[in-house]
Amino acid sequence: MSELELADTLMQKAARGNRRAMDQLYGLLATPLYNYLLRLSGDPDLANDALQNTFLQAWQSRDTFRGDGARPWLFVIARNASRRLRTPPVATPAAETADPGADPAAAQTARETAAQLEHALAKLPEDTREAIVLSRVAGLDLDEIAGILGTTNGALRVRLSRGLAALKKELEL
Amino acid sequence: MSHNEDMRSIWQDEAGDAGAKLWDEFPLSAAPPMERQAAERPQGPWLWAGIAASWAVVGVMVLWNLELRSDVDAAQAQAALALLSTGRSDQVLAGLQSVQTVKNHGGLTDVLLQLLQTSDDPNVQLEALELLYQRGDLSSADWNAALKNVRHHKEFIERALKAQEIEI
Repeated sequence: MSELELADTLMQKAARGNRRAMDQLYGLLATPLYNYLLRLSGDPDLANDALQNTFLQAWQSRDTFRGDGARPWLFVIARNASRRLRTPPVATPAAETADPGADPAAAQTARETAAQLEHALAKLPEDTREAIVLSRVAGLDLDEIAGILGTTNGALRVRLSRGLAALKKELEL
Repeated sequence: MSHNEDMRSIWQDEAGDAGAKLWDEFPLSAAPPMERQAAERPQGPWLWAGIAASWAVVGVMVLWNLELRSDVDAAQAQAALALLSTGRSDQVLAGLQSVQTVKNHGGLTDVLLQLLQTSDDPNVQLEALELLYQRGDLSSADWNAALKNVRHHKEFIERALKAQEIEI
């Protein structure tokens, strides 16, 4: 069973009122959703608020879940939750990507790389940044991501191409 | 190929080696834990009344169940263990549902551990994990030892256990 199917199974259980299944779904999807929301808002507190609201909304709307596509369904809820909370985006604080037990110099380099990438991401137009982040964290295919963003597969591919080119240039890769 | 592998290939197609590098070095942050009180906040006074009434009913049911349980435990455990040993996911899940109220059966914890560690069905693994957690028989060291021997969906099971701990 893939993680997509597992998410569907858990959401089906949650839709029948199983609170534990919703908790398991949080364990499965909170991190990709949080990373998406973090890059939309640029603020960890706002991203967390949007994340909690996403699962609250999903729980309250569980009767409307149609039985499959739990992952894109939650990303759509998250996108709307973020829009209700959001202030203009700023550079996201660099994520904790370094292993605490690793070589300090390597950890410092990883932190600097992460900070540069976050800075470059924050400079992208919003629709491009959203396409880049969603494609990286959502674990979905192009059609599903295009559905979340309300665009077409082709237009999404163009956004990805432009965004990656801009990041490549900004980071001198 | 998973969607993530497909998408990494797309990034590579669009930006060459830089696309793959950006994918691999993309910073990911751990999500904060679920804020359960916010998620379960009642919406009005009628909801409070409903909750109070529900708890009263639950209390009565629990007392009634306690009285009956000692009589049915042995027979129920025997029937449930038979289902758990079939190896068929649907029957195992049915067995797991029916052992939820069984408290006093020494071998049940071992059976649940074996299901958690050997089943390749994540639904079975999750049900077994939840029952083990509810029973509270395992120490932290026991859990660590048990997780080491999980053969399938290990990362997911570790996250599921973490979610249980956060919930408590």
